[in-house]
Amino acid sequence: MRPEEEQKPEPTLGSETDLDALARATMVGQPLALIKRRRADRGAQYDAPNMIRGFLIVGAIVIVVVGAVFIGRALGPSAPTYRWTWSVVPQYLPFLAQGLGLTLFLSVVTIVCGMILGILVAAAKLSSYPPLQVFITGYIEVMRGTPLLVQLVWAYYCLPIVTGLQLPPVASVLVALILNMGAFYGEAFRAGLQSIPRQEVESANVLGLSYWQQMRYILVPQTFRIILPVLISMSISLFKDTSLVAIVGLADLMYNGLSASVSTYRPLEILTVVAIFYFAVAFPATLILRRLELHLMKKQ
Amino acid sequence: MEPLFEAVAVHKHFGENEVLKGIDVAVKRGDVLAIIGPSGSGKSTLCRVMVGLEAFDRGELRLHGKTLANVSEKGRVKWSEDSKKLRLDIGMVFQHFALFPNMTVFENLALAPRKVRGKSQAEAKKLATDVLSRVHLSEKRDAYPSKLSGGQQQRVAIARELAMERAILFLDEPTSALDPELVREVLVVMKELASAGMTMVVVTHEMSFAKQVASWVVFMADGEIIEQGPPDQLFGHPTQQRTKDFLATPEDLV
Repeated sequence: MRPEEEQKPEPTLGSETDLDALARATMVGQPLALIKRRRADRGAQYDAPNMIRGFLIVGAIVIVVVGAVFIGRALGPSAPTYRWTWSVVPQYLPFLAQGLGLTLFLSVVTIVCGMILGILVAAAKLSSYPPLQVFITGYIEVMRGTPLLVQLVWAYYCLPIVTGLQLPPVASVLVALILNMGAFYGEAFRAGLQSIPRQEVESANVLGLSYWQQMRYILVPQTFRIILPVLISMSISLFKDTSLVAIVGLADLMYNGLSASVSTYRPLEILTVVAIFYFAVAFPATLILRRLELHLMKKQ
Repeated sequence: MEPLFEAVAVHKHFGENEVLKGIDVAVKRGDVLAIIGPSGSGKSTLCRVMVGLEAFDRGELRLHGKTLANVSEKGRVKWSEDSKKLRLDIGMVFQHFALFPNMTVFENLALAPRKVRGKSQAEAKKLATDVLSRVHLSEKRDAYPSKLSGGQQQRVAIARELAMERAILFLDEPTSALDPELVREVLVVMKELASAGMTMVVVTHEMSFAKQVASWVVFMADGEIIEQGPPDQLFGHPTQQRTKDFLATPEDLV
């Protein structure tokens, strides 16, 4: 006789609680039950639909900004004399968009190459070959312990002098960005890899899978899923941190914003628009990536 | 008949602690060897040494009458030249199943046959269907491990080893991590495998399983084999005091 199929109960999230009973007993409770059900479907942290969340967040930001302006006016020592002149902005929009193009290019290349480098860094750090471990640890600590701005300047100005290597400006900036992010992604991947139960690796060994096959089919996919939230926030940060390349004169969004400010004498208007540009990319990106995260979570 | 698998005078220590003090084990084709003993007796370590997950200090492992691994003069484990291929004949089932949670049951089963044995997708599919029916889980083919009970996961882990067409299967406490009501379904599958002629080495605390299914029982304590023999003899007429003490069940106490 074959044994009875035993299905383990779903984790406690979906199980009946006093709250559910209360919700069912009262009319008022129905929306509550609905929210709870939804929470059970999606996992505890995600209780409101993304769109509503998005509107709430944007609304909160508007309230904070407007509130700050009003409070500032109320408490300010004298009546403000600044007159916003938004009419200077439209003619510079294509120029700013051009800068955004470079910003996006730098971000995407850095994220893709940085993640690949990060996987290698994590693999090296977890290797059983001591010299490699020491080297990688040194690299990570230098990258984490020095400001990205310094690294950018170093790659742009110092590297050609020290090594005689003449890289195009974009390339030298990318070197600094990728090496920097490689260290951070690498540490995230290392933490993720170490969180995978040892027995999985052992069983993969017994199955005869090679080191790279284990990485490719078992470790990296799982690690990626575990650390996805961290990778997302790091990547969003990186997208904004690319604004530092303006310091070496690369025509990214920030640099073009600064030069438009100078030629119009209207930094407040222009830089506000620059901020909106950054936000208009970063915020939808977080929403889309959160969807991806949820999708991956559901699959397992 | 020549043993299929042999461990000869295997020694191992962790620091000062000698956990295996010269163990000899021989397994013939079709044997079901049960290793029993108190916790800390070294039986799990022995199991891990025999499948190659753990190094050892002295001794030799043999498979199909050929040396699989021995120890060099420097005290390092030396795997034979064809060990990589030979070791594919040795499977292991872990206490905590060790399925790959990012893959469906089918993908878990098909991965190694495809990537290591070089089977085609169609062959892997047929193999997976076949081994899943042997562990009575045909309908769970596309489920993710997290949707299965512990007993079902362990049966998939067994199926994964079957799909690799092993000559010998080591099971390290395969039911110890399971809720009591799930133990039976795994033992049933193991019993069916045994009657189908699968060669198995089972480290277990399930005495009734050892009694009914094993063809040979090894009792270990403190890194040594204290006593071994057919189950009737070992359970019915143990000769060593330590064996008697270990086998004294709680019912005997009251």
